Amino acid sequence: MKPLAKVSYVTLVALGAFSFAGVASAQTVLQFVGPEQPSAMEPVIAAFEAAHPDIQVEYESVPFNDLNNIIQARLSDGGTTPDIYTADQPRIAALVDRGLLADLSDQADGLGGVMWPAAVEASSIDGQLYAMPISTSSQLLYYNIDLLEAAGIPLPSMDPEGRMTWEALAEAGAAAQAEGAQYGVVLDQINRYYQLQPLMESAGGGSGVSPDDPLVPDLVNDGWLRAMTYYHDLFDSGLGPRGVPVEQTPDLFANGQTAFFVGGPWWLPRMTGTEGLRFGIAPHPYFDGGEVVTPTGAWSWGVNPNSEHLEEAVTFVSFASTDPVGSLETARGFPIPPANMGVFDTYYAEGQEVEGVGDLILHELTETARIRPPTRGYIQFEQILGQAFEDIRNGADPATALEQAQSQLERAWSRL
Amino acid sequence: MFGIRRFRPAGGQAVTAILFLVPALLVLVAFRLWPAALSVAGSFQHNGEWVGLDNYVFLFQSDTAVQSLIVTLIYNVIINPVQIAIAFALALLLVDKIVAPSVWRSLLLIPVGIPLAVSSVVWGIAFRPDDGAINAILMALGFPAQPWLTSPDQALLAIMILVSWVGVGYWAFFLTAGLKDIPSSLLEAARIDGATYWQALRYIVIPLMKRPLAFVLVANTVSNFLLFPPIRILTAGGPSGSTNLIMHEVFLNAFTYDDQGLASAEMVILIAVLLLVVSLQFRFLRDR
Repeated sequence: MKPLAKVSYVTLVALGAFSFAGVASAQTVLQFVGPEQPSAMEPVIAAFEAAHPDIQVEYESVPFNDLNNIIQARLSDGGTTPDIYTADQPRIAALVDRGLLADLSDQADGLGGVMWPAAVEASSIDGQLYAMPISTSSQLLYYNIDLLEAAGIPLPSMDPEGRMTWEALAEAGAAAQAEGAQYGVVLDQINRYYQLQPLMESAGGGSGVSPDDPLVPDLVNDGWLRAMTYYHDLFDSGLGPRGVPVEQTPDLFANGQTAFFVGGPWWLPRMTGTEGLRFGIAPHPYFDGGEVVTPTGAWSWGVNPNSEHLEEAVTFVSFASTDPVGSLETARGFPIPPANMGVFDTYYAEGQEVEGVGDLILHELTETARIRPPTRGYIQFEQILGQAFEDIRNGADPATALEQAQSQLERAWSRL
Repeated sequence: MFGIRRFRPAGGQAVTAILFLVPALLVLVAFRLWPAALSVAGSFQHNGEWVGLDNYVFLFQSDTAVQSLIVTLIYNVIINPVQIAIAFALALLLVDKIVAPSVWRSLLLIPVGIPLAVSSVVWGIAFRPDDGAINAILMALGFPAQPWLTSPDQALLAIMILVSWVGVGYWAFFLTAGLKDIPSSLLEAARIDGATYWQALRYIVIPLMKRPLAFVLVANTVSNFLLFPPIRILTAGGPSGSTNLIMHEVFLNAFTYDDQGLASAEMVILIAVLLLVVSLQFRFLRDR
């Protein structure tokens, strides 16, 4: 290369580098990790980028089961990305304890009256807000009209006053099974605490965490035993399936094999879209003589405290959570109810798959919803209980399994 | 013969040799030795503080951890010999007792090409007690349905079946290569001398297969000690801890509970056991 050519080449490269740097500094790129499909995120990201042309959001979808492990692995050594991630509400205490969530209390003003109180409570630790509530959840009782009619079982009412008991549900399920249904009763998250907490609470056993100390388990009591004996018998009698993992339970209802399915409203689009499936919706069951309790809690979006774009990341999560435009766009992508009450009615007016479901969920969120216990030992709690539930489902004696889980949990929590 | 010990490079050559070795050595240090050292150091810490042997004491007092170690040992004592025996039998068939051996070889290798995570999900569906394919076949043949992955007595067996479905074909492939290296003149000479098939196998083939068998046994043992995907996907260690192989326990502590000290201590114990087992295997299969 001749000297002159060399100089111009170097100059060109340098100019190129400068112009590239210019573009890079104008456009901040936020990395976002969550369990939703990328299509669910498109509406809110598009709306945000339109309102903030200098910020770009790159979303990465990871499987729900691996979300917490991935966040743990990427953030625990001070990693700067992802800038934003989906925080499972009951795990927020543990994430805060490990220093993985930035304090967002500056954004907390004005959440009162806008968000479902349970969603704010589930995103706060000691009065400080650590993640912006995005969605909330509830559970419904789905029933297969054809299977119930074939067995001569009256269709349950959608009215919360006419709510079925777990005992009546098991009887009706058995009757439907006698007339051809493969399964009588299937639970959506069949071995997860989220799904089963209402059984223990309704039977008077409490959440499983001592009300006096969030690191003392309370699994060995009459309420837990009653609920777990019911759960054990559900599978021992063949009313529900063994060996079917959480991911495959909705198929059993969609395929028309199951009379009753206790599941989230996020399955409504799937079920209404299934040809030949005639189904109805009723309120979540409770134990005879017990309190009515329904599950709740879902996602909040948190910010990595080590993010290099902390300010922009906070701007994004606030936009998605509290901004009237942003929160509606967030809700539009999601099949579960928004945490923002302001957009709740619009959301259900637009996308109500079954007439009356929005009102039923509204009723449950205001009257019967109970969040999971806010303990920083929740991760161990959920894991160890998940194994105990699965063992009981597979036939282990409920009392023994609960005692084992209690002692395992005591040991695990002693490490915190 | 030109042996390594006789190699005495001149000064310039030595520098060149070292320079060529540097990238490999750097990778070895960065990705093997350094993490291993960190892991050992980490096993004496809890939440960043030195705690001496506390993590080890905690593990040996924990029913879950001790049971996990026992399950891992039982699993390995059974699966390694069984897999090698089946793989060896398949390799013998593939070498000379079967029509169109290349077709069979390809069929045996197909499971290897499927990611273990995917085969785990598919086998999980096949093992479903109520509507799984395996029970459907059993019942069609007049046998009762089995609980498989939902029973503490059968879950580990079900995992072994799944893992062997993949592993047996893979290891048979290596053993086939070893069998083909045996000079046919030796076997012909034996036949002329009147040796039966079993005699030839016992006194010629198996002794000559010691090297490939040693490799396959050691590699198989290591992969079985470190087995993880089917446990994570299908059983999460249950029912009642019956499939809680130690790698799953390490994963839980490291990535779910964020208890790096405990995970490191379990890893150190696992590696110590593995080294012991592998050194015994080398001892037994040494060329004499």
